[in-house]
Amino acid sequence: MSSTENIDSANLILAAEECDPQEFAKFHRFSANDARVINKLIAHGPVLLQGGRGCGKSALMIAASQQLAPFLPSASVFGVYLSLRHMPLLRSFGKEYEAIFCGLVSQQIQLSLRDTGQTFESADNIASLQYGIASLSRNLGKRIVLLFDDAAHIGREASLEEFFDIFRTISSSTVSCKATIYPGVTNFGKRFDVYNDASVVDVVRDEEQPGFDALFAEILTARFPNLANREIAAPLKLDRAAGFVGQSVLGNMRGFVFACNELADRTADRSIGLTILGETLLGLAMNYYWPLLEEVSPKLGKYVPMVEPARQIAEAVLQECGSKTPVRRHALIHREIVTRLPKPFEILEYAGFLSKRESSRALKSGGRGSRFAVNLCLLLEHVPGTRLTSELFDRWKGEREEPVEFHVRGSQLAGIANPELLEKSDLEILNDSIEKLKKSRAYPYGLTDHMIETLKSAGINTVGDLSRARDEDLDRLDYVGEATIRRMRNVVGQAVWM
Amino acid sequence: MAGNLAAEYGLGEGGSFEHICSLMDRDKVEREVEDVFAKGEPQEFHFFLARCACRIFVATTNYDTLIERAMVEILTCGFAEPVCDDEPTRIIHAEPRQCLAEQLGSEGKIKDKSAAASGGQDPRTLTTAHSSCDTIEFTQRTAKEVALATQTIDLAQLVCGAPEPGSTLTEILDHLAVTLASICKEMKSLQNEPIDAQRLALVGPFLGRSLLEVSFTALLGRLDPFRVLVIREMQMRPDFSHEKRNLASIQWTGDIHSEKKVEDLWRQDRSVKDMTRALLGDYYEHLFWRRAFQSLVDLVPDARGGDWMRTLRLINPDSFIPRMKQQSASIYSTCSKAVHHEFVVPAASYYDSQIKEQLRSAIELVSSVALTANASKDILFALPIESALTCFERIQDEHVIN
Repeated sequence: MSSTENIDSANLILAAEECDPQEFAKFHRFSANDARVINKLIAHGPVLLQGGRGCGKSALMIAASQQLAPFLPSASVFGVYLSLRHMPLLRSFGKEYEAIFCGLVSQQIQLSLRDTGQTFESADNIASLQYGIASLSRNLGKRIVLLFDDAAHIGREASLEEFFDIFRTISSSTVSCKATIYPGVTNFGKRFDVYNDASVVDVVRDEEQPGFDALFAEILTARFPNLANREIAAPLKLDRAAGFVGQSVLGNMRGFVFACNELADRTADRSIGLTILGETLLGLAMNYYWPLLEEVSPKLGKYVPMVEPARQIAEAVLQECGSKTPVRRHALIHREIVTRLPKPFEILEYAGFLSKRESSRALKSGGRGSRFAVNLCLLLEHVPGTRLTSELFDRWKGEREEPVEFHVRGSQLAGIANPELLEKSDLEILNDSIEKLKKSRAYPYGLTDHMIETLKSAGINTVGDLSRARDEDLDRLDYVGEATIRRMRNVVGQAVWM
Repeated sequence: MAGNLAAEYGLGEGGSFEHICSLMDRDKVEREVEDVFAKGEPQEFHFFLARCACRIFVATTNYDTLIERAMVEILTCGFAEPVCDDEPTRIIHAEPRQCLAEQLGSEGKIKDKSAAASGGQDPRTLTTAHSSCDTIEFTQRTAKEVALATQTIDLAQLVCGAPEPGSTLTEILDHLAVTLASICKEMKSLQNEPIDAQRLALVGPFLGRSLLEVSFTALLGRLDPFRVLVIREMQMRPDFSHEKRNLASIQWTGDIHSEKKVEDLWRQDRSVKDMTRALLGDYYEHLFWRRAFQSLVDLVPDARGGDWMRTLRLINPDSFIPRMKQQSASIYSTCSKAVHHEFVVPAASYYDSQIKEQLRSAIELVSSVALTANASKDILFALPIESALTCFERIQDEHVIN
């Protein structure tokens, strides 16, 4: 058993939707700005919640649903949270998508109603779903909020058109639809006008926000209580250390959980100091972030060729930022470059290498561009000496310095080519062997050897096979029960969607 | 009694104090004065007058706004002199002092001790005057009232800018500022006080819609004075009828939102009369808002503006107005359903407690649009960006807490 497991493995929850609803409040914490977002998720009107991978969109949605009935029976609004991590949805179009989608929504509503005495008839088309939800609202005497999570998938934008058509159609004065999207989702279909049919709400998680350090310290304490009780070497304090780790992973909640896990591994018998923090950052860069680009690749479908330019952009930005004196942690990239290479930048944001902090800022060298914060784990690798000194720590925790500018001409980014897409290609991950899902750093709650053997003996050999297998079929396998099925579903979800 | 006390404490022989009483509920004022003096603490009278100053500004709409400014000045300078000689001198700037002299003539007893401290013209004069009240906190209630007054003035000032005295447009904007401050005060009381669902459903949507209408009318007036000057002129005519619909009045669809999207803005065969002049319409979006938004993100220092500014920085200048249009349309439409009593089912079930969130969103939206407007050199009476940003941050701080 690793030290991680000794510490808090039960709390190593990488995605909010995998957390037991009753335990959710125990492990999740929210800032004042998050509270504002949660209010918007409960309020009237359609909302698209936009944020990078792992920034906490799902947690915000679940937190919103827990302020509504049936979780809070006295609430005047009835909320239904639905994760759309459902393989058939990813592979279907048109009427077929509509039927699967309506079926999923119906099932989830029925599940939510089980203790209320109300019923909901299954719908297989949008008209009957719309009618059913409107009737339910009347019967309950409550407004209904539908929270759709994971509707968008980085590798498959085509199916979003159907989703947004449905989203628009069922939104009304008594039915408020909310959905998560990530930056870069642009294909909303012909009938959905993103600025007319929904409010876009951004999830902002920025180290310059007041309370940033305290929020991450609270999360660390809630998720990793043993780690929080470790000795912390002066002049560090828990909130500064936790805030620094949060900042290093660009405020990404999933990255933070991985980082705490790594930190716990390294501090089993040592106090938390700058040396350990530096080692943790470098460990994350080597074992988590760079492999992540490989992990993402098979989920990208036709966008697989975009991984290479993404890597080139990352290397150029990190090298340039790391070589400056003092080291810079922000890159200001001319808009022509960002516009020319949208998918590689999206992949880098998705993988947590960069995080956009400003859409339009003037470059000193002329023109305008987007300012990105750079992942400090990766940046530390490019700092001379690759060591987190107290000076570097203070600088990174201090006021923001001027960003490194990448102009449309003369910068290393200018020459990066935009490759052709692989049209008609499928998600490679589905054809990968289930060995891929074995417990590892990438999949810390992955499948055990025994589970893999059991699945193989039942003819389930690929990630796709497992994703398509029905719960009742899995339940028939030896030593596979409800908890194991949930674990399998979660790891498939992580492999395909995260 | 009130008159004597007023004289004793430097406000002249009842004149100015009588004026206060005429603007407020006289019995209530007198009761409060008696209560204050029953405690035997002269300094509490000082605090009481500060509260009056705040209330007058936010509560009254039925008299000339210049008088209103004058009253604030009388109170903030006048009450201090006799009781607190060791207090720092309050700053009174030139503009309201002139207004005071013009409007009150010999009636006003202006204390001159602050003249030396005057730093010259400051477009934030009103707030500066109120800022002096910030230090006056002797009970929780007083502190809240002072905060309320500051917030409502901040929003009014951010939206209406710093109009120069003497113009007709200034009169209009002053009126809108006072109206806006009153709306904000009511909104604030909805947020802070316990309120039943029925009243919330009845009043909340009205305030939300009013906030949008008044704010956007003021911004439109600063961008296109013709539009509000025409309305004023028509309303002043003897044949103006309250009983008939006025076709020249500001229309949400037409003046604020355009009636339809314009596909090719610069088609050479389009005449000016066919170009929409809606505040959030395509022409102003192209000619004004994009540049204003770009100026804003360039002018605001990195660490300023709080979460609202952080959110604005994530928006592309081309997307700013489309987003604001969508949000304003959504809030306006939500609120209008109750204003027009469209419901044949209980409105309270539709306007659940989340109407408060609509009001918060309305304040954020109006503040963001107004801050952006002030960052432009193409709009009248723009506040200096530092002043506008201070207002924006204060509105936000107050807003987030509740």
